[in-house]
Amino acid sequence: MTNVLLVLIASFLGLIQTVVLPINFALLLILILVSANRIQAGLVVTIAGSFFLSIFTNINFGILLISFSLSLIIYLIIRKYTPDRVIFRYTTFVSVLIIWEILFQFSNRVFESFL
Amino acid sequence: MRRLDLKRSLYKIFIVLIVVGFLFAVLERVGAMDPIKGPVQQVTIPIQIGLFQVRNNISNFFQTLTEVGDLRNKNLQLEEENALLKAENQKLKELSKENQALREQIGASIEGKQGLLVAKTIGFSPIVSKKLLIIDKGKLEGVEKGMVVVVRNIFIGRIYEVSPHSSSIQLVSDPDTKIAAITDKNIRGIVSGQFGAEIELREVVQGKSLNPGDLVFTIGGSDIPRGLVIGEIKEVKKVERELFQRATVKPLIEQDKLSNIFILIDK
Repeated sequence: MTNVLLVLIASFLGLIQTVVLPINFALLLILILVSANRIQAGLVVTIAGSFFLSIFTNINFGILLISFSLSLIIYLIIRKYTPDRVIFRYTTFVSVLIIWEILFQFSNRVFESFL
Repeated sequence: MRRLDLKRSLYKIFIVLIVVGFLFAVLERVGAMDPIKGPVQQVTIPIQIGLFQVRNNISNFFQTLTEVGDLRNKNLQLEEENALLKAENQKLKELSKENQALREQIGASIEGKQGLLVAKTIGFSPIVSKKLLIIDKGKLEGVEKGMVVVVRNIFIGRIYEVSPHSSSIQLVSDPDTKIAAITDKNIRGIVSGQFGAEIELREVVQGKSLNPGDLVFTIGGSDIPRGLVIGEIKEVKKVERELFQRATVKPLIEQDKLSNIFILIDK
């Protein structure tokens, strides 16, 4: 039941990202879940978020999944070297949201050159 | 110790997701994801259309509130322009008739080999650095990558990505757009998008006289028809020591607020 709810939330976040404001709300939710050690929920939103964003925007689902995963790896690395304080946590969230776009472009270019 | 294990396993999980993502990326490229995406899009597209229209209405309402002071002056100016355009239109109608008669006489093919497919806009790309507009027509409706998108004779962009029931248009303002263009005074250049929705006419030789208000058209080639309006010159940026001059081009219609667009398709 919780997973179904998470999938619905991920789809809603993808929708408002494409219609209202271009902020990656799904990634923000994943970061919040991972930082709260809710790993399973984070994984569900990662997959559902990538899938629905791909449905709403025609972006390749696989590339989105790769960019989300890379962002989370970057997040884990940054967290490893920063103190566990609220201000650092929020700064990391914002940094990862900005870095996500660069990682997406990078993944896309690497994939295109591979093909 | 347990926390360390959890972190290590997290890294492993995300690396596995990257590999899985790569496989899905290949599958999607060969069209293997279409049977899943198609039916889901049939459900989600009407919702996207509705939400996007609501968003546009709200945005228009607030824009009208902020612009109400200027509207009266603008209205007077438009009435004057309208009168002039009516006169010009009449003249053009006569010329068009004459042109038609001449074409028939010499047996030349008339423009319009292509058909038009109407589509509704349903959203924007989540990638901030790209200027993409999402529409409700896709592969199954006959849309293909690279097709030209217009509104009347105004060039909007080209199809960039195609899904079963949806596509993305790469707008003229996208930083990766590069189109050969010509002004109404026969000055040639390259139109390209800039970060932040601006369009620029570049690589115009210094000696040529660009003026604000000049119209910029497509030159034709690369499957883009000749003579589509890209916009009008807003500001000329001339630096004497540079080889070329540049100009900011303002689109004739606000691309962010389009609700219907037309795709040029091969009949």
